Amino acid sequence: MRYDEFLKSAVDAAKEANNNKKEIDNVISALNESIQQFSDNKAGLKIAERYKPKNILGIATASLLYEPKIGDKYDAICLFSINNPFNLTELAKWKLGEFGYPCRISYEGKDVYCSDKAALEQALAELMKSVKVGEALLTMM
Amino acid sequence: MGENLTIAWWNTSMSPASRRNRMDEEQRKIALLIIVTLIDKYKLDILCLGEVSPNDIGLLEEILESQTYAIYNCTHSNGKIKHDLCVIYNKRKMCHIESIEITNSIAHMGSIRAGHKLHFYHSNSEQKFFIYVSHWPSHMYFGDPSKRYELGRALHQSIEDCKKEQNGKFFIILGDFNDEPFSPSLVDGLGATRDRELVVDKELLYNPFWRHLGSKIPYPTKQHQSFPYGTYYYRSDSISKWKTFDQIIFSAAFLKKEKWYLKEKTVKIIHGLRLYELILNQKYYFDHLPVMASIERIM
Repeated sequence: MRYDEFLKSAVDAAKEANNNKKEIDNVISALNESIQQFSDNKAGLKIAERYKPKNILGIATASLLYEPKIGDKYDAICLFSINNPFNLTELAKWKLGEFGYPCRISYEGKDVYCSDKAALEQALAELMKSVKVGEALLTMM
Repeated sequence: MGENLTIAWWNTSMSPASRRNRMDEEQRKIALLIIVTLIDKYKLDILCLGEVSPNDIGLLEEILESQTYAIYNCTHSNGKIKHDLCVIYNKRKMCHIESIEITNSIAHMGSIRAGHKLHFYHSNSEQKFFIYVSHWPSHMYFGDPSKRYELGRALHQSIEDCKKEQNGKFFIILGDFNDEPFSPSLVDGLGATRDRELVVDKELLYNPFWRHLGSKIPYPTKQHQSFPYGTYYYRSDSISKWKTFDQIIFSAAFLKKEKWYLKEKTVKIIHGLRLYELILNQKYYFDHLPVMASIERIM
């Protein structure tokens, strides 16, 4: 059996996944820059690791410690204060697809799937319209 | 005999999102009577309804027996999206855990509704079920095949995510897709096929509505004219007025005889209750027939 074809398609898929992930990073970076400009360098946006406490004990620990790494890990789109990068406001849960796309933004009881760059930009623009974003920016500006 | 769960879908035509509460008193009463009769006659445990308004749901709450039935109301607006769905379920058998809206971001169009994911827990068997209810936009407003494919893809991805994140196995996807079982949105996008072997081997979804394309009564058998050729009647179509837009689709677990299985004999388009006549009568708004299916628990 010749494996060349399979290996080539595996490499192509990996390249495409890398390109997609770079493209997604660029979209997030561009939004971060826009927010920094808008807020006079007081706030920014990033994808941050978050932890969901599994039980009451976890919730209690989380309330006592500052950003404890206990519970189920997930990624979230967060606004942060430039002066205090630990001051995060979670806007939505974030999930990157295996091949970059489709990626998922979850907030206000909905899962929004984005299958390409234009769809992701559109979804982020929708997210930025929410009151939660406005309120978080106000506290940081 | 094992324990059954029966699920159905009906696009009621009562209140499309663009024209809520359009039916007069007579039509609304007929629609409500059909809903109650469907639940009673077919012993439905879950009935998903399309094109209903908050007002319609209020009326349903008044007439349904509240000790047994609960209604999940999904008629809210979310930005430009207006939802027009509700799910009536037998709360003696099923517990509604949570629900989430599945949307698809489309450039320059905003979010398009792909469906609602409802997480149910069946108390007797301690089994979780994930029900996806969809009412996809019509081709008139959303005709681009590549975008319709994305609607199917969003549901597919949500199911894949649910398998990984919530250990989901038993998925039922139903609704008015405004697409036929052979449409690329359902076949390539959602991954719903007629091929049961592939469903089991490749973990695809099984769409039993391939068997419901066209009339089930062969010509010239008596009464062949009194059976529909699909689930949806579009009077102005010059090639085929009937389409099979309303479907119930099952995950591979239902074909593996693991805990619960699909009783395919029970999958049907309901054309009784004078619905067929009502649809053909231009005086009424009705244009969809209900569809139903049962699953059985392996004891």
